Amino acid sequence: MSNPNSKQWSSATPGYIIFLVDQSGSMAESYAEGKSRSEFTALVINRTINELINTNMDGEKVKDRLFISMIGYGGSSSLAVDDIRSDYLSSFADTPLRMEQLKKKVSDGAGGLIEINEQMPIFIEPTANGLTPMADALSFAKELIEGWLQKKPNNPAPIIINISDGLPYTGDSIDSAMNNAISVSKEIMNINSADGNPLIFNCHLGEGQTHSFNEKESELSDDQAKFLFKVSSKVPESYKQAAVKQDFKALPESRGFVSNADPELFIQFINFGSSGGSDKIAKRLN
Amino acid sequence: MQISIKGYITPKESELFYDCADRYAISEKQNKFAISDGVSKSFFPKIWADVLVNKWVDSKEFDEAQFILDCQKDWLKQVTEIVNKPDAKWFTKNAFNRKESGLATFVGLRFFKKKKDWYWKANALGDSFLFFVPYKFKDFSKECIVLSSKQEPIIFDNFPDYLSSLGSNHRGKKQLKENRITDGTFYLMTDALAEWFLNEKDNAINKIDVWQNQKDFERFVDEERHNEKLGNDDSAILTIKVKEDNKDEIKYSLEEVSDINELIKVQQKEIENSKKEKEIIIQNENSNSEISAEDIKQEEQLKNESTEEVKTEIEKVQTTHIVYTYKGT
Repeated sequence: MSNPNSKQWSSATPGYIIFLVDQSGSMAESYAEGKSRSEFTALVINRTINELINTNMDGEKVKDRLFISMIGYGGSSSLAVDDIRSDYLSSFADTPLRMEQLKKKVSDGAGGLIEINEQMPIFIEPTANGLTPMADALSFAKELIEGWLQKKPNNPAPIIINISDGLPYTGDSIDSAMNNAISVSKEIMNINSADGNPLIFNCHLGEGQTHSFNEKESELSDDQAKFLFKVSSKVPESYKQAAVKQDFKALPESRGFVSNADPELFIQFINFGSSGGSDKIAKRLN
Repeated sequence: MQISIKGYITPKESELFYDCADRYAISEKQNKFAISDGVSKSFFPKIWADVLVNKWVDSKEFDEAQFILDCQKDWLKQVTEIVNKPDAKWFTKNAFNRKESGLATFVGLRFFKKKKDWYWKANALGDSFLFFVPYKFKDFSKECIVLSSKQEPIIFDNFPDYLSSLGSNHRGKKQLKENRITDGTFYLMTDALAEWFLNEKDNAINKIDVWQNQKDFERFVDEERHNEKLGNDDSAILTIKVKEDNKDEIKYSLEEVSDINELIKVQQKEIENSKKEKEIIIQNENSNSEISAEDIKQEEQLKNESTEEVKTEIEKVQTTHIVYTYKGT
């Protein structure tokens, strides 16, 4: 395949993004701006879907160029994997869970700023409970991807964005949970589609030493980063421009992950992962 | 001088004519022709492209700065009316409050007389193109006149130059060309067709010549998209064939120029008819049986769907909304 993961999202061939969201108990820990990790994660996902709606609407109508699944793991019970919501973009736009009113400063067009009222849609609420059944969540995502590609073999290769604050843990050994997650990730990354293999990008929230987009596992000093390296896809050429736009150093063999992301890095990574690649990000004209 | 005109337009695959953001317009009175491609991810690009082409061909005296201001005023008036409707969507209001703008490419062509001779003058901004192919050309590459604001080497990307519906945040520099009119054909087209035209060269002329109507054009677009020779984008073309007959006046014949508003109406009628047929089928199926609450809900949903919201393809993945719950060990 000459240029994998480059097929454009369109109404005829919608893209598919799966957000895997760690909703384990540790996500209740404080993170940034007075918010916990789960609260900040919900905020970032809500903003991202809002942004996707804005970039795929022509004023009145949202084009269904994208299907989104939000899958939570942990959360509702200790080892739960929940399909929080799976829908086309226009359905998200039509029926958010609720709306929040925000004050926002925007350019007045004459060099100054004015404050405006903006309605912020909420699609996911923060949850922090239970363990971290990441392998089960990946298995569920694998089923979703297989079902999607069976019906839409010519569509863009799906993308998984996994957001977590730790290693997989299901009550037994961490090594065993990690090996399971690595094994399922490899299965997903080996699924074939007309647009290449599905992509898995991983974002780990934390406060230690940060690693991102590394090319070799040997460059990494801790188990967390080594694990992320193993469960992340190589960044395809079509995503390199999106990575650079978000200030990531995308080298030829870079894997799509970040460990110990602070809030700024977290947002940059989600912008990169949900861009759909260079073709789509290029269309985000302001 | 005899001029015959054809114009065709079609949306992206799996989208409706309603979604199409390309527009063209002609004015026999002013001898003007224009085409525009509304940037799909900008704010109300259809209205912006529509205002630009129609105001341009209708204007007699031309003051460019005033023209843009008039177009911007018209766009804002139409958009404000939509935003102020009680059923306006939250994302429409948000974008309006953020002062987002419509963006569109533009090509304008006009014929005018200087002393005894007829001349043409054209301007272009963005990746919409004007081509002029002389009658009985010998070497297409040398003789075909190309006008757009794309720089050589021409690469079709997602960064077109454009006119903005707000302020002076236009992008790129307008390109101009002027020449004496000779026999031949002007082709005004939006980017997907322009890219195809540049690739196909004189072969494109032969393919365009056979289109007799909108359906021929739609068939061609389907085939070329299927063969991956034409990008999946809104596509519009105006062909203006010029033939000198040594008479002083211009005589127009409109062979077929598709009207996007008519195409939208016809398609919406088809969608409404299809919905009515579905309603009748449901009614017939239920006439001899008890109607359940679910059936009533389905019928109500059918009635409530607006034509604009009818989706050509709405289906969920097989496993949607399944809840996997693993109990702790």
